[in-house]
Amino acid sequence: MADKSLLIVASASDETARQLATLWKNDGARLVLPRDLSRPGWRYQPGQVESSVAAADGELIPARQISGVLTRLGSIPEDELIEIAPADREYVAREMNAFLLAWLSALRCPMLNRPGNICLSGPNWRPEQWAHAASQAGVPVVPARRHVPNENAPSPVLRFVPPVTVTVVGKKCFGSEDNFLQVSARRIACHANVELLAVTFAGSGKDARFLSANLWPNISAPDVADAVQEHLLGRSRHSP
Amino acid sequence: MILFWGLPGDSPLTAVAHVLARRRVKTAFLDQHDSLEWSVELNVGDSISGFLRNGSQSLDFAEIKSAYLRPYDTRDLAGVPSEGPGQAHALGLGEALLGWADITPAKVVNRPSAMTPNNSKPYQSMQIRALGFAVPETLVTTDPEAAREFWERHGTVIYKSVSSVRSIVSKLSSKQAARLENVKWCPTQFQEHIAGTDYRVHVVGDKVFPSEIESQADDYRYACRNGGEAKIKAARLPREVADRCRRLAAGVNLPVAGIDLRLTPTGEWYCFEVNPSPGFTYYQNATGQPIAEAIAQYLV
Repeated sequence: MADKSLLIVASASDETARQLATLWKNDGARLVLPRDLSRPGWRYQPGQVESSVAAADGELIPARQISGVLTRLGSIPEDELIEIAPADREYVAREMNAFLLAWLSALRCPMLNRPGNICLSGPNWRPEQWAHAASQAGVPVVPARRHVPNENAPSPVLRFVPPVTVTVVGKKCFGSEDNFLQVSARRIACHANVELLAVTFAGSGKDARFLSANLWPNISAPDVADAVQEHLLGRSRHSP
Repeated sequence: MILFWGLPGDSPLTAVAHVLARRRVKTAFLDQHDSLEWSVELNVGDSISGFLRNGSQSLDFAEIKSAYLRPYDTRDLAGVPSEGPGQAHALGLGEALLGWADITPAKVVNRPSAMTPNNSKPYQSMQIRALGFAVPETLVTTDPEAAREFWERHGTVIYKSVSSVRSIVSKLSSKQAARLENVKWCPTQFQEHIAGTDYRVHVVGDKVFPSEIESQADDYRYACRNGGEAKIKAARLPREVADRCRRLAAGVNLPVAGIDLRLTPTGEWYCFEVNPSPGFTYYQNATGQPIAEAIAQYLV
């Protein structure tokens, strides 16, 4: 067994997280579920993260033993805190979230993704903010349109262009061999300061335009899962 | 045009709006109570464009040069349905405005993304420390034994919420020792007690308005609940500390900030929190400091 732990912060209903925990067992993979935040043993002193302790999977894990963290939660879902009195769940979920955000932000090990200001998995941007970020990164975009109320929204007549999704894992890209899409996806991820991101484009090649981005891509495909694991264990290799 | 978004009874919004009205600056007020009467169209691509409309007004986002935002949680507002299309409308309007506020080139007090670190006090405390202020030693734990050790080490500790949920800062007393077992259910924040005098420093751009608070309460904001009182008076800060406050507010991207400091008897300045949406009128009314004027000036 590994003397290091690779943490996967996930919902109790996240089947992909469970599969990855099993797959990465020899690298010390452990699930951190929302209910684990209601287990005795967590300790964190801001400014002294190296002495912090996590309580996950029934064990206490010192921070210095954590080799990497995969975060598949944006926030702690209160409906998973079934051991907490219903009237207290919203408050407890917010407290857990605030704690986890601070602790994860302080950890120095590889992490996909590092928390944003409020979201455990990166910047919790709205579609308009992703479109703006893509544009700022020099990537052509399909404008994000928001109309409230929805029934007043005009229906744009757009030529259908098949969407293509590129998943960025560190320096690697999956989902398309199109160099323009790969470079664009990496630029957007870099602009958002994340290393795990699915970016969807309308079309491909130089005519492609940014459509949307997702901080929680499907990473169950073996090649993507391997890249995530390598990244978290600090073994990631650059694409040729 | 300057956009105001919030509730009409909100004291800071009202104070700044009065200053601008006196100066005859064009403003528009989006009353959250009227959320269902407003529609919004926001388009973001290479540029940002769109309109806010109600029956009689049409506001072009391109004409908004600055904005002062103090929205309340839409779900808590009377008049907003608790479900269905009405609630979706009100929430959608809020999402559009918050999204716009983060990317618009207009001046915004304050951008939503800059306000979110306040949702995690230990996270914000690391920002504060990185920007030059001492912060109290803190433990967040679900381990009752760790909490006891921390308490014994510091003698006097306080506890308060980890998140932005407002809590009364309280000293841990021997009466609560048995309740320490409960920390295993939820990460709980303990902090060494720092004795000294409280200061609230409002930073507006490069202007600094320090107030000194005289109170015996653990949390002066709630002093009167326990029969105590809080006396607030205008104060002066050493230049170096005032500059540190400016650097702190700028470093966390808050043009307007309420910084909570404490000066110890040995002359050390600790920072506890940076409030990204300060209710400055409480201090302005007590000290006469022209904070609303400064915010209005910043927005113009």
